[in-house]
Amino acid sequence: MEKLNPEIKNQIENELLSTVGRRYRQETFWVIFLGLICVGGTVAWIIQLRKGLGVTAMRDYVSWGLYISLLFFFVGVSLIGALVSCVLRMSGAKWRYPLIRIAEAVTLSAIFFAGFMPVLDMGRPERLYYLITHGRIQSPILWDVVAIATYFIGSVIYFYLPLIPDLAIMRDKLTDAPKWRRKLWRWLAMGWEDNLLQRRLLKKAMLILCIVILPVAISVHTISAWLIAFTLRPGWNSTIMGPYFVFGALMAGTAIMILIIAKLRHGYRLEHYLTPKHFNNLAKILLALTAFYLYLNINKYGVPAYKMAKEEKAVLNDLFYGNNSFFFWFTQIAGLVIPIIILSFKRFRQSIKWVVTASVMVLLGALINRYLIVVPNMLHPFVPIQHAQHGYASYNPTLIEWAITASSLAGFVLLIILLFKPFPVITMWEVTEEVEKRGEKEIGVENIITLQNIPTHAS
Amino acid sequence: MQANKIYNFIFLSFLLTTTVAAQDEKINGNIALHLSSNDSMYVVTATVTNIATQQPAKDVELTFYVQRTFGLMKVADGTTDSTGIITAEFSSDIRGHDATKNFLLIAKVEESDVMKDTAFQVSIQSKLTFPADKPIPRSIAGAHAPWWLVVSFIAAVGVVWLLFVYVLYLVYRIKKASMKVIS
Amino acid sequence: MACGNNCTCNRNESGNQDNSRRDFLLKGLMGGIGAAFLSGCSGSTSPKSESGDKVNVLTHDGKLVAVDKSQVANFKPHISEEDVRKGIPGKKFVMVIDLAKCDGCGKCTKACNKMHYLPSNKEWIEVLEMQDSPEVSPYYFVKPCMHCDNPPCTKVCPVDATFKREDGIVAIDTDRCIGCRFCMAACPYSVRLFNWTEPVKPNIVETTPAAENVFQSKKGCVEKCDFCPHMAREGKLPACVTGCPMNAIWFGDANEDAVTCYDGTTTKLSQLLEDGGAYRFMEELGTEPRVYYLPPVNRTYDAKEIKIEKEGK
Repeated sequence: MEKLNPEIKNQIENELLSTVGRRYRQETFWVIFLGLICVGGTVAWIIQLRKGLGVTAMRDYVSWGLYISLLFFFVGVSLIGALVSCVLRMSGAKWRYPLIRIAEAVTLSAIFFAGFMPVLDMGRPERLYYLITHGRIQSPILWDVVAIATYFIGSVIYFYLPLIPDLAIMRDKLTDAPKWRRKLWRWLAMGWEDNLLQRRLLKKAMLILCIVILPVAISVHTISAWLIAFTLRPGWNSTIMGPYFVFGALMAGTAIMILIIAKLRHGYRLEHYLTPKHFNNLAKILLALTAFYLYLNINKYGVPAYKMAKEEKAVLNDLFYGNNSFFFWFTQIAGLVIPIIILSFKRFRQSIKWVVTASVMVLLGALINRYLIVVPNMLHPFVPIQHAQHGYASYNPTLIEWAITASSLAGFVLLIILLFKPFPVITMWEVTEEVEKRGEKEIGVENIITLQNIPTHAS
Repeated sequence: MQANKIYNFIFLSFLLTTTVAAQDEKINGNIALHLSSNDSMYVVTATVTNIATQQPAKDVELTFYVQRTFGLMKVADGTTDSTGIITAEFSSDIRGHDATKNFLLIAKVEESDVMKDTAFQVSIQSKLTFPADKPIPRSIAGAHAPWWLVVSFIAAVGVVWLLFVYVLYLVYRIKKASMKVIS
Repeated sequence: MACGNNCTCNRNESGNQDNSRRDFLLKGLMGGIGAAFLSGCSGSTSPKSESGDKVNVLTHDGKLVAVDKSQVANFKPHISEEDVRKGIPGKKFVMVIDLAKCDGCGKCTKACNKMHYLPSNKEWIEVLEMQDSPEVSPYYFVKPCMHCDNPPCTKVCPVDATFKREDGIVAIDTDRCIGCRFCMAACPYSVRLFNWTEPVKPNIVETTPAAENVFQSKKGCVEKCDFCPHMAREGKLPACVTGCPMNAIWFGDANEDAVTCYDGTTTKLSQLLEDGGAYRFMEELGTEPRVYYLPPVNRTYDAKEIKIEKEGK
């Protein structure tokens, strides 16, 4: 491919930079709305800190509830960064380029809240530093803390590396921005002047990080799975937990990714960059993951259900016909089977609406599934629950718990939005470079080099 | 167990030191304990004498106990014959009280018609080895991690963090590279 | 017993201070045979302000001295943190529960709750009604902490707050516990309890390290049956054993091969286990409990009266 016309390149950059710092009415509404939920959650958290975990519905039998379910959810979602930037890179999928920064932003936000959830769940959060001063490396909790911290740092670096050339572009182009911002950009751009050595070094750094981050990402979620798989409880005492969590996580992450790019496409007017090709390809991945997850579910529930060992039976009966049966069958049918059917048809995969619908179902199923992994198992321990006080042999989350849960989810979305604000959502330099090398089609962008199609609203 | 020790001979007796107000019906007695042992049994011979008359006390019911942490474990009992002697046997598979392997054998007179309540004791070295105090080993369940876990944990985390540092070093070199004119 | 000083003490003022009196006795006794003694030697810091309360302390050379109560409260524990984590030297505690004798009266639970100042809704030792299958006869099942030799709970503790001692006890240090409740999830016997709210504190002062306190409840921390190590240090039986009039609970030292029950009967542990056909609860989990059960054969109570609660609500 021939070099891009510098004017066109300039035009593309202007277009992508136009979202930086720009206010969108709908977005402002969401930021305020989510911010208010977060304030509510913070108030709830303060109440919980003062009164103790007694304000939650967790009791001695169900000693882990929504918070830990949400921990598993967030850790899971954070895997999407590794999927897009490592797995797709290694499989040579060129259409990933416009998605990289979005995926990393989701990862960063998710892993931040994943690190936050255990603190919410602790009886004595003020003793958190004991993990460092008295840490026992035999405990999976310590592994989890180390893995989450490592993955967080890794994700920050991975978010930053492809940002360097873009920051240089911002430094050079957005000369009318406030002085402190320009100063920050100059500092963060590391004197990037796009010379060959710099390019070589950046590519090398990205390659190394891409290789390192994948095992870290997998370990983060596997260790989270071990938190429950390392116990001797019926339903949890299973070797499938690691892969089960990892693939469930990739599935949920892909669904979230689809929803976010669907929102960004119109919200930020990125129709030329986030195209049906991306939805189609992500839908294919989602199809493969949901199908594989269904297979894992059949293994996880079907194998013990065939044998019906005494202790497993109580848990399985609860899920199949008991109090949680509605949720269970919802996750299996609405969360897996129906999305698989939808995504199996090419016509539906090519329709953004259908892909989004399937993603919403998958995501809802994945969220409920985290709850089903944690709570029903705790209600069926080996030793029968007898003479339980009121509220001990059941779990109905309290308002405080719902408030904190809702605000964590709100905070997760809010943080993603805030990460999109100071930087261009699409990796400018990589997209232009790859378009030069391979053409628009392979990258999945549409009509960005046809000048007249570009609606310019550069600042 | 060495052959010469099988018939080892312990003789210990303790004088009653408490002075109890004299009661006409019951006598104050002294018990001399004589212990020998064979392969599987301890043989204890108790000689009960009336302190006042220095005569053997007969028809005294004696119970033999071994002192344990939370109570007295009954091992044998009997009644003295006309010479004031009881011979009782009990199994020698009794562990010591602590690492010294010693345990106390107590001969007790309890609610006897003849003699006032009293107790005499003898310290015996057990033939059984006392389980050694084992520190909790380095293990998953213990306070200290097994070395292989420490090594693999540090290695795994260390490799990742070193690579992070190397990546940051590359970023530093990017900054350095801006000074040069290469292209 | 490091210093071997004996001490007796009495509060010199009358009043309703039954509890405070007990505290002081507790402190003295918990040091084993020893040894509350006066400042200087104790090396304790931060003397509290004078409270005006005087107590009489018998020093080791036999003098009776009146000292301010605040000074007494500053006595350093005679059991160090290290001692508590190591356990009582030379001991291996073990419990045997005779299900044939347990008639489900629940006095063990009551005695335990009294000993540890627990409210009635907390049970460190629980009496459950069990029936293994519909046709077999039901029985009462007493469930203290199993003090496993391969404890699933200490494995997962991230801060070494719950730990295995050399004397076999699995203890909890509530000064260390961060309240993550992983141990509760890991325990297959559901013996661990959590302080969801601020517990009601009894009016006692304890100076032993937290893991051997009589009162262990602390908001946001886990607690459970501790085999009463403070009693064992004095050669006394745990509260549940001395509370069981049926002689169903035996407690002792496996190193000595002896266990003792409520009426003081002491028997050879190995003999009891052999004759009674003892088993351990859920042996297949590999947790190696230190609590043995004698099967409910030839029961001393009427099994037909036991009503099994259906699981859940």
